Amino acid sequence: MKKLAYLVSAISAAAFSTAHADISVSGSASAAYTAAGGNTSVLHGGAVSFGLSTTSDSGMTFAAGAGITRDTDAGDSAAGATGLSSLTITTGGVSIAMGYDIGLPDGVGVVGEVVTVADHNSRSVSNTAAVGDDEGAGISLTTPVGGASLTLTYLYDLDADTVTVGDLDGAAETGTGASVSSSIAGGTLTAAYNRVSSASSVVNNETGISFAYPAGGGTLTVGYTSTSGDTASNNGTAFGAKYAMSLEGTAITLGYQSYDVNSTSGNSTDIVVSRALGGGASVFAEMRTTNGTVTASAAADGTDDTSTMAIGTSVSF
Amino acid sequence: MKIYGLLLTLFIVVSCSGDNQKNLENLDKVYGKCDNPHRQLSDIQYTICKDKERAAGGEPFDIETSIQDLLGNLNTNPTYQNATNKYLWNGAIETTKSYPLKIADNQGGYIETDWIYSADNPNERCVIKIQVLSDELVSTGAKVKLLCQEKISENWITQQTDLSNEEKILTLKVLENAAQSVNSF
Repeated sequence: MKKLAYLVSAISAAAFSTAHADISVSGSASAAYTAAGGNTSVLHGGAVSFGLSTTSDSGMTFAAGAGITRDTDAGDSAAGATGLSSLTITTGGVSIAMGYDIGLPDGVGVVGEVVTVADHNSRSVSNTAAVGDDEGAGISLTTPVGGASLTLTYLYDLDADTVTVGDLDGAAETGTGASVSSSIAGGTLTAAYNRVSSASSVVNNETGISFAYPAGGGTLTVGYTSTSGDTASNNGTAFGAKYAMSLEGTAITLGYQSYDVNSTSGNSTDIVVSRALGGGASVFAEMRTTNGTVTASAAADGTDDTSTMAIGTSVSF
Repeated sequence: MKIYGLLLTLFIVVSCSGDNQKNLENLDKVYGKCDNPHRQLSDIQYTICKDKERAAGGEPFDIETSIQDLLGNLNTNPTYQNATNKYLWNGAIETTKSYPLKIADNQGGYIETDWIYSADNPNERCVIKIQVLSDELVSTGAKVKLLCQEKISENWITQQTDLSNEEKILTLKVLENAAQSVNSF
């Protein structure tokens, strides 16, 4: 046994002594040309994420994260540091996240909006089905139940992500949400319910459902959302569909999303094409077209458009 | 009161829990890791995730097709799919990174180091062989085999010593590195 001691100990020393802790770094950067009618822009941005984790002697994993970002779709925004505001504990089959930036599982039924850059200077649909503020201080639990995945979320202070302190006993705005995903009929069904209670006892609810099914070599996802509550301008329904496929190494995604909210209706059609270049680099092209009741032009130079496009490249590290 | 109810629900649900990581990975294949409704990603993590998704070249949906397939024509070219789990592979590479590798076959999932010699005893050498057996991240997805030899009269003779304990330690190290590889994504 002694003969091999140096070999095994050299490899396994980290596993059984002090090196359960780990810091991982990942990042990405991108550049894109965007056009909204005659209004053209070049966007640069990126982000660096630090993952901090350690494992206790019992096998419980603790993780946190921090990052530096320069917004990729907000013009020349200054870089900012974020993170270190939440902690994730994973033990057995359960993952528990707690912090200031916990999000409700809302938007499950909104599947048709797929662009990430081409929404720059886009005149978006005016009224969308949403519960409003959906992120704040709280706790979220994800666990399997049978063959399904269940997520339960409680936000005790919806303002915490802006004021950076969680008011446990006296917050004016709270939120509760639950979502479950399960394999059914050859596809995956996800359903979610969210409830947000804002200041002055204003309550809004959102119910969303989506179904993803492999079809024609790709994946078809359809979604439905219904919102109701005290904020009439948010009450209504939304329907979305998305089809994603890979064609000879090129990823293509088509999305359609429609809203019928507060007696107005609008819709958007998205197309995203991307191709990997190897080494973490890729090129992409996106397009969005909106119709119906959309926002008025709000760009600084007074030129947004209902038809926008973006061409760019990104690299991940 | 609500938070106490959530904590009570937490304890009840824990008793019914199973393999959360496997469920999340299955949902990643459906929605993509970035848009998995059961993952909590910060804005930064989501941005990086989407850029990595693009760089993966269509892999998030894990489906290969062609225009001929869409038109229903026969595809006579066989499609080979990597049968090794990438996290287990990364874990095996990380475990053996301090030693020269003789074989590193990520298609077949096999790693073999070159002979490793002891500075204290030049008449002994060992080789580590790691086989990735599964395309899923499971505890039985990697198998480690140690082979050691002793030099006797200028001939290298394989030792008959039971190395199962050392092999078990190395297997656990591969699995740990694989788990860290998942978290680093």
